Amino acid sequence: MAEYMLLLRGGGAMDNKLTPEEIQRLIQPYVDWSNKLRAEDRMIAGSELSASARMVRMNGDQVAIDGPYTETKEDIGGYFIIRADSDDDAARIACGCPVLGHGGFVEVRQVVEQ
Amino acid sequence: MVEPDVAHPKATPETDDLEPTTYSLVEHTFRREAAQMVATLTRFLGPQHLALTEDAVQDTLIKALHAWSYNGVPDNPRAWLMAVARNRALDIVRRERSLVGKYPVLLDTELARGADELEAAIDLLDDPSQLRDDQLRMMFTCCHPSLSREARVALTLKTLGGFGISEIARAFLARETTIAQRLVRAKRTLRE
Repeated sequence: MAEYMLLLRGGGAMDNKLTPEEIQRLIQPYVDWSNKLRAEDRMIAGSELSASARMVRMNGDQVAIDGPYTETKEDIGGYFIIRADSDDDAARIACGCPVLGHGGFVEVRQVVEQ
Repeated sequence: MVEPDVAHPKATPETDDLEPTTYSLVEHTFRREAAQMVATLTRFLGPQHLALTEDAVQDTLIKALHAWSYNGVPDNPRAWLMAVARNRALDIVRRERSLVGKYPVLLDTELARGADELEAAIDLLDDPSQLRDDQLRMMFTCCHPSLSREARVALTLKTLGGFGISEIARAFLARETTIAQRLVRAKRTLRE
């Protein structure tokens, strides 16, 4: 078993006019999916990432801080760290990720063990 | 390979460091809780600030959408929602207050007092009999005699039923803008 990071990109723009029922209906698939991963002992961690971000980089010989950047279409909305047998296995798990249902996609990367 | 859904219930000490957030959501939880949050916050902030209260509750549900999608449903979803809604309402009131600071004539002393009480009353937010009283009070507010019958029904569905504008519009066979207008006017009437 290796650890994989699933980066969830896009699919995050939420309409402020959603009804309470619609909001709950959006959460439910995530809850079901992550509960299943927990039941299979595959879930290690997961969290939402805030939309507003800073970028720190060298500008000539000075450190420059840019931002805040607001959300763009392919921003990372959050991540999960899971256990999987192989790249293919991790990708298969990512196929169940609900973000795919609303226009987002998942980047699957193995956490390399030293 | 672990068989799905079979190996789960016996959490051994080795797996105890996993977040035990395997709670699921009961159907219509958000609809019910939205109504309760609006009713309870209105106890403190008054029906004249219904729009502000509704904003705070909507923000809370959106926040839950993001947080719970990744972290799972918290052990006590009701308490989570109410605590976040309370803080959100306080944020909004504070922002209004700092605006008011610049224009003292706008100061709404009742709102300020309500916010202070709300800040102090976190323990009281979960008292079941108090919560029922909040809903009853809200029912009377929604059926205020100065409101038309149509406005009363729409407002009751929105605040006590936890229905959205689109859902109410469908029930009335009306356009969403019509219902939205009706609700805005009803809330304005309650403010006066």
